[in-house]
Amino acid sequence: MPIELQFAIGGLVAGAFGALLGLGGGILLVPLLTLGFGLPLPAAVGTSLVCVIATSTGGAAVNVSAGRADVRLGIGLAAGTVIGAFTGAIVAGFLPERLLAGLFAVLLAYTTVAMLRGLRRRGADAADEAVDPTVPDGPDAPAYRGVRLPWALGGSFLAGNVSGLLGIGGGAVTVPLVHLVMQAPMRVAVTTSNYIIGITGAAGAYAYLFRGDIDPRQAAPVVLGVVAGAAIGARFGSRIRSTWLVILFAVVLAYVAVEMAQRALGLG
Amino acid sequence: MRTDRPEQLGRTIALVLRLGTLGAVIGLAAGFGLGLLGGEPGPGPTPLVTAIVDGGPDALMAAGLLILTLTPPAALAAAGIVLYRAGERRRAVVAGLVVFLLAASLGVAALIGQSI
Repeated sequence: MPIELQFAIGGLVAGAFGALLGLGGGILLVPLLTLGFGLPLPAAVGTSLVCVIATSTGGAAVNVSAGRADVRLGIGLAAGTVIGAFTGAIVAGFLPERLLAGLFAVLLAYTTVAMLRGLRRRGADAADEAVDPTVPDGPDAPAYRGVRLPWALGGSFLAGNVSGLLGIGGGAVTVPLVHLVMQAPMRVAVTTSNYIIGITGAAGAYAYLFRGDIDPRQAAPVVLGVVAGAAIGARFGSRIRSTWLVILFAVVLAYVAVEMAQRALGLG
Repeated sequence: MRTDRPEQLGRTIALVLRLGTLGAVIGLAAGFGLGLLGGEPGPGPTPLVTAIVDGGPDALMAAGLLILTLTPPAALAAAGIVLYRAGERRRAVVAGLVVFLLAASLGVAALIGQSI
C-alpha cells in the first residue's frame, strides 16, 4: 500500500478516536507519526497543528452558528494563546528532539490520568449538559466573561505555548481554564475551547510551515484522514460512550507515554 | 454595547470557517489525488512558498495547507467587522489585535523561514 494511503488511514483512526473520546487529534497523531511512521518530531508536531486547525474549523462552524460557543470570550482569550503558540513554535526549533519527546511523554501521562479521573465525573458533566447550551448576549450576557481575566489570559498563554511546542490543540488547558477559573458551564468551556484551538493552531503552524518542517505529501493525506475520521467519530460518538473504551485507550496512551519516555532517554 | 442581530456574528464566523475548510480540503484532495496518480516520490519537506512556486500536486497541497491556516484569522477578521458594525467597538478592537498578532506571526515566520 502506498505510504500516502497509510498516512490517510492513520489520520482517519486518530481523528475518529479523538472525536469519540473528546480528545484533540494531536495527542494521538504526534506519537503515531513519530513512533509509527518514523517522522522527526518537528514534522509530526507541525502536521498535527494543521490537523488541529482542520478539526477545529469543522466543529467550531457548527458550535458557533448554534450559539453554543462564547465567541466574544474566545476572541479575548485567543490574544494570549496566539502569542503563546507562536513563541512555543519558535522555541521548539531550538530544543533537542529528546527534550520534546520527554515533554510529550509527560503530557501523555497527564492525559492518561485525566481520562481515568474523568470517568468518575461523568454524572456531573451530564447534569451540566442538560442546561440550555446557548450563550445569551446583550443585557443577558454571561457574568463569567470578566471573572479572573488576568489569570485566564496568563493561562491561555500557557495553553498556546504547549500547543505550539507539542502540536496539540491546548484544550487540556483551556477547558479547565474557562470552566474552573472563569466558572463558565462545562459545555460552553468545551465549545469555546474548540473555537480557540483553531486560532491557536494557526499561530503555531506558521513557524513549522515556513521552516519547511511540513511535507505537503505527508500532511495532506493525514489532514484528509483526520477530517473524515472526526466526522465519523462525531456521528457515532453519542452511541459509543463505553467506559471500557476509555480504559482501553488510557492503557494505549500509557504505553505510548512509556515509548516516548524511552525515546527521550535515548533507549528507544 | 449590544449587538442588534447577535446571531449574525455566529453565522458570519461559521460561513467563513466552512468556506475556508472546503477550499482547503479541495486543494488537499486534488493534490493528493494527482500525486497518487503521478506516482513520483515527493521532494520531501519543503518550505511552503517553494512548494507553491514549484507547481504540480505539491503546490495544490501546499496551497490547501495555506488556506487552512489562513481560515481562522479570516473568520476572526470577519467577526471583528460584524462586532464593529454592531457598535461593540472594544470587542472589535480585541478581534483586530488578535488578527494583527496572527499576521505578525505569519510575517515573522515567512521572513526568517528556515533560520528559525
